[in-house]
Amino acid sequence: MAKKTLHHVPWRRFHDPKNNPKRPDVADVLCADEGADFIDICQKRPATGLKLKAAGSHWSLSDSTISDDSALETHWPDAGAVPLNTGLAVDMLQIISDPLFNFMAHTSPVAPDAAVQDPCLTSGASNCFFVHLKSGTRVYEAYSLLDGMAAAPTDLAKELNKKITRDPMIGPYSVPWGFMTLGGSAGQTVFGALTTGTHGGDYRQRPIADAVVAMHLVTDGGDHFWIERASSTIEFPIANDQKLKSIYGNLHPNVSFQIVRDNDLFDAVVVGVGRFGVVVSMVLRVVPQYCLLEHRRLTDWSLIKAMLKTPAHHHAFDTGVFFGSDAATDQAGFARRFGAVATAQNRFLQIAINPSPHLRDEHRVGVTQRWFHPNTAPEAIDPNTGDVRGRRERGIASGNPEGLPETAGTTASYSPPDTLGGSGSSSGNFLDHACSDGNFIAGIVREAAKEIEKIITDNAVTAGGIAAAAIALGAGAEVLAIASVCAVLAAVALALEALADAIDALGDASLAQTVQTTIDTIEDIPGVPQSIKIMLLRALVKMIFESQQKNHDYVAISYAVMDGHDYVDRSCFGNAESIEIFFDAARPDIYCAFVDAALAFEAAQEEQAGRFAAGYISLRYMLGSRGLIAPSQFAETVAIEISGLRDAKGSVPFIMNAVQLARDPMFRGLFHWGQFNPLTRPEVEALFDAPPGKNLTRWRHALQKFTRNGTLDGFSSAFTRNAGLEPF
Amino acid sequence: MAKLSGKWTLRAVGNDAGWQQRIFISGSDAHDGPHPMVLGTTIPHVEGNAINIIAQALNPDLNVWIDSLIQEAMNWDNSTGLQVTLSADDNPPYGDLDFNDLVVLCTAEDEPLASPLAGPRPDLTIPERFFKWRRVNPEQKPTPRKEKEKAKSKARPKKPVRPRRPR
Repeated sequence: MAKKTLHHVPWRRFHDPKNNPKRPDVADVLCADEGADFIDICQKRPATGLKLKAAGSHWSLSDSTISDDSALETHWPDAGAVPLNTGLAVDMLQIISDPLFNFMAHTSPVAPDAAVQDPCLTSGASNCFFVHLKSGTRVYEAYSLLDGMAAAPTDLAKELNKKITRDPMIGPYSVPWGFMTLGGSAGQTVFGALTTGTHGGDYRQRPIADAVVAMHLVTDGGDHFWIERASSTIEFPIANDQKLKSIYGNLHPNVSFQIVRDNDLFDAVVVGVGRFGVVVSMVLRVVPQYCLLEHRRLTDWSLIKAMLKTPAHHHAFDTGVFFGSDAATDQAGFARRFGAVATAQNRFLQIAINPSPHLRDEHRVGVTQRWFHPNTAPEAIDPNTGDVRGRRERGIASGNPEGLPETAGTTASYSPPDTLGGSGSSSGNFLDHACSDGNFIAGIVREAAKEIEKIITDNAVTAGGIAAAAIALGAGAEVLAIASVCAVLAAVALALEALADAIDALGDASLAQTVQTTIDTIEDIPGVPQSIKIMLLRALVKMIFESQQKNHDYVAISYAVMDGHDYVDRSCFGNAESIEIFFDAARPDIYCAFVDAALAFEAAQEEQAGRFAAGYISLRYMLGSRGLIAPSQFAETVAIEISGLRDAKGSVPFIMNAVQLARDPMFRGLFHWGQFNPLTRPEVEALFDAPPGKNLTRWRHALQKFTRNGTLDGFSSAFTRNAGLEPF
Repeated sequence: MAKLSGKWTLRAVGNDAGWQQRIFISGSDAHDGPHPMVLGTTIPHVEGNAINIIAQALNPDLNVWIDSLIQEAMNWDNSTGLQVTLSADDNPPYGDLDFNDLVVLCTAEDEPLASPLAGPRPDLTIPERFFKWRRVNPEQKPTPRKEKEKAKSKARPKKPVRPRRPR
């Protein structure tokens, strides 16, 4: 048990510029690592009159984690010796209910190496395990911890093994475990991610928040609560009341401890956006570790849009998709390589769109699909290590028993060693790749320079070349207007060669820096008409997008596929902005119109103002969440993420236009609570309080209960007041 | 019932019905009430925060306007902007469910729902004479131009062979 208060320190969000913290001077930053510490802090809060707000990794791009006054930290991200509320909380063995224990002891999970079916598509108490995690645990810490539980089982696992095999270390519960779904990056704390509505693209599953089965909440004033649902697919109470009372009942003399089993209260707190207090630990349902097969193909938006608008909607992608003139050969090769897995229904769909057009109004698209894949099939095994692919590259925690180098949260996204041109996980958005190595762009720029030199030599654009792929045939009024095309192009070629050298000279530069340098250089080439610059930038942006979304197929351990974030520190300025808007996946006409409107804005700003956005539009699908104000409100929901680098002149206008569109009553998009979220009280009420659910009213009733009818307002903030996330 | 918000132009783009068709607007700033619709009828500048539109057809036997079923579909057109198509099927529940008795195209008039690309655009194309149709790799299929030329040469009648003059 430890507490530490930092005084007068800057408070910075992960994606903010390092020299421009969101809050330059916070008087008190309170850090703690145990429930009792948090209770003590919250118990003393009302007397101070200062507001509090819990935060973890500072990954959120919204202001939802920003306190009016003091900060309460579960995982203070800056270097320094402060307590972190990370790792396993009280072992489940000490709190588990007898009915749940007995059920688990009589219903062994399928061993990961024997699994032939996706373990993530069921939600009951069988074929799973329960872990009690502290809320400040980062997602990558959690997945590596779970994956290492074959060698280091929890006390609950040992006791269950003992019941089954009489040996605590050997048995069906001494296996690696995994999350059922994850977002595209894993630097967030587990609770920070799920309480703001974070999700993956696993369209047959609910978001991450729905894997939580119990929470320990400390409220303003110090009263604390163990919260479970009253009814769920688990069918048993998670914890035993007497055990809970003996562990948590006497943590502090001046506060009360209550056990609450109520669906609405649970569903309010789990996506509570930090308004209820601080959740210090939670119990998560996890499944036997598994592998995923990821399949990605490039095509065009017009084709994908037509598929989405068929009666099958996004289920038109339930089986593998292949495009182009070689689709049949491609599909046959895929089937030969992956066999029955490839013909099964997949579980994941992401559609990443290049905002910059080519051939006038077409857009390149990378379609990513994933299937469950058995751990033991040859494709899952790394030929160099004999281990499951991706485990050693992405999942080794510090202090592991084999003494392997730590890789969780420290390495670049996984790329299969024996896949030619494999470009790694498709997970995440442009933000997740913004800090990845951008030096590959030098090669693209050199290729473009060579092509331009060829155009000068031939006095023609070569079919099948880079320029031809981006430029449409037509009257060419802009080109004809130029007196000497070749002289202009010669200047461009020279500038591109110099740019490629400059990118090489940057060394280990981030993608963000490199893209921006490229855009700036081309915009600054003297004497080149704007129309030629636009054509050139569109060609380059298309090439960069295609290199990031190129065709690939590979298998790796679940988290190596799902977590696409590059953790290598390249002093990336991380100066990025992102929004995520949620729509009903059953109305592709509406969300495709939204995407098209955003794309039209980008084309217009390129053509009319010479401004380019550097970013992606990404569509991912999921089932609706039980969380009362979770943004994934629809039975089947699509999340449209629009992100970009702030320093590219067109990025912020592009994103802000999308914000304006999403807020228009014709679109009525729901915003992710953890990304830029401008929604005001009337908008939140219109979006979340429609009958018959009246979800916001129910959420507010829950908040009234946990704030003594609104009298304790320590966790209120400018953000929650603006959004109407208040008890009344 | 369909709902619109903002400023819109409504135009009947389909009318394949035996009965007389109209729409009934409510919630607009200045266009509330019935509007008879035949192919081409246009109602510009329909504005309001919560415009409701129902389609109706006149039952000639009863001389009563009956609410039709409406399907709505949204679309973005780069040359105009956001469009909502309202397709009505009259005389429910006895209709034929072809939803073509009245089709009204609603086009947004103001930003951000009007297209920023609606005006003239720079011609970012390249004239064909600057385009070199040649294979860049051996696996590439013949280019359209070659195919075109091949087709042209096949179609071209053979030159008649002039008989040689006897020496």
